[in-house]
Amino acid sequence: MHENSKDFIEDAQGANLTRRPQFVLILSIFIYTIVIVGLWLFEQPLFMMISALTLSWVAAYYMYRDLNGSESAVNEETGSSISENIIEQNKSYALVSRKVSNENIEIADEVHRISKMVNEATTELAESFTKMNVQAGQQKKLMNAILNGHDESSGDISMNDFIEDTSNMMNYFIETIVNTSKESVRLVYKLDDLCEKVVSIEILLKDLKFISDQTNLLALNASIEAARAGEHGRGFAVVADEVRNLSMSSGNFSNQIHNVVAEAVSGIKEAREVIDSIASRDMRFVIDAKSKNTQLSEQICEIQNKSEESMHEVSAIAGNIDESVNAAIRSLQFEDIATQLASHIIERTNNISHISNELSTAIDSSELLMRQGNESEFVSGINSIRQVCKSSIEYIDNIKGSPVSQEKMDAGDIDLF
Amino acid sequence: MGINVVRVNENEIAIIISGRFDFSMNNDFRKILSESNETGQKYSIDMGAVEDLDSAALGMLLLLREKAGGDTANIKIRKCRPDIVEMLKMANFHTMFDIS
Repeated sequence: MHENSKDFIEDAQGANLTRRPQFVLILSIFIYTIVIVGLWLFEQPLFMMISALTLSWVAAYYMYRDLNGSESAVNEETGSSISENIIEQNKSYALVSRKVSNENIEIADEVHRISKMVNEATTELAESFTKMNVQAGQQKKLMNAILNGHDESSGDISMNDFIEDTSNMMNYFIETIVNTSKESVRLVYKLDDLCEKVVSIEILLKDLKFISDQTNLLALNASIEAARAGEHGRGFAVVADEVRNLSMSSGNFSNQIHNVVAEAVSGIKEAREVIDSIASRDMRFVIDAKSKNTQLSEQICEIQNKSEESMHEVSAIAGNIDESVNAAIRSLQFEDIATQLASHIIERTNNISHISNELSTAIDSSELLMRQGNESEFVSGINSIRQVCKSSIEYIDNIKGSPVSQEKMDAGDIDLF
Repeated sequence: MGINVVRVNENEIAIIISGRFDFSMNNDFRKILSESNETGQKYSIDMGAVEDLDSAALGMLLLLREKAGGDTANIKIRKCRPDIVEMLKMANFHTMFDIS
């Protein structure tokens, strides 16, 4: 644009339109020089001075007019080429405006798609989270049911009861064994006493033997005396013989009793042996079993306690899941604001498109006017564009609608949507 | 193998058992029983050399306790090996005797 102006001015300087005043000027200067010389020759200094002054003024006038003329000529020249420039420039502006408008349509479309995606995604997420919530709740319920099953004895024999019963049973058996042994030893002692008593019969038998032996001897003596007495002693001899027989029977009986006693004693000894086997129970075996039982019950108790602990933990975690899911659902509420913001963006791009379109339309319609050739129509064309710009600015300024202020979203309960 | 009985003083009797404490000792044990009565006698049974116990031994100890006054009996069982202590505990003897 700048270069174009320069060219025009140079052209203007060589234009025919400027040559005529220059010729007149030179002629005038020539004439006036002659006049001044003449006046000088005729010694008319006053007229000379007046002529010189007049000459200089005329020269100045012509120079001034010359300059102005070429300027106005240049202005006229550059004026028309500048106006052409301006028209072309406006056309470029119109093109850019239209491009802007198109871009805005694309922007609006893309923002709309984002908004839609966000909406769909958050809806799905909300559904998933709600499901998760429900499932976590079910888990917690199950856990509680199991826990409660553990605390009460629901009619079935609980593990603890079983272990206690087993322990009690073992204690009972041990007690029984020890008691049996104790009574067995006591029995043995009673048998020993019995044995003693039985054995004491032997002593009595000894006495009896002595008596029977003595009786035998006396009977023998009696027989001898009876024989000495002859006839008178015959009756006595018979008696003495009978006494001898009696003592011999008594001896036999003694022997029999002795045998029976021996059998009794041997029987008692056998009984002792039997009792020995009853009383002698190996305790180690029983005690090993009992200690294993105790160990087992302790282990089972530990396992129970640990599993109870774990279940309590699981229950607590279920509670935490609940909280986390609620927080997640709460945070999805951003979707609301996002959608609003998106529609605001789309509105704004629509506004931009509107004013771009107005501008390009105004430029298009003013072009015709500006090409009329005269100045006033050119100016009114430019004014119309300016007017459109002004009204566009007003249009934007007048649009009501404050941007949505973003609030924090951790207040209160969540809304499940 | 056997039981030694020492009368420490008028009211105290020390019994030392060694080897296998079982039914075979019942004769010797009987002597101890026959000498005891309920008049507050103290018994101290040294089981340091006892290798093994069976139920007969436990029965005999219970008989002694019975003879020495039952719940008022004062019987100490000392120097037991750990496994012996275990056995006595399993048979609940720690509630009836002073075991160490």
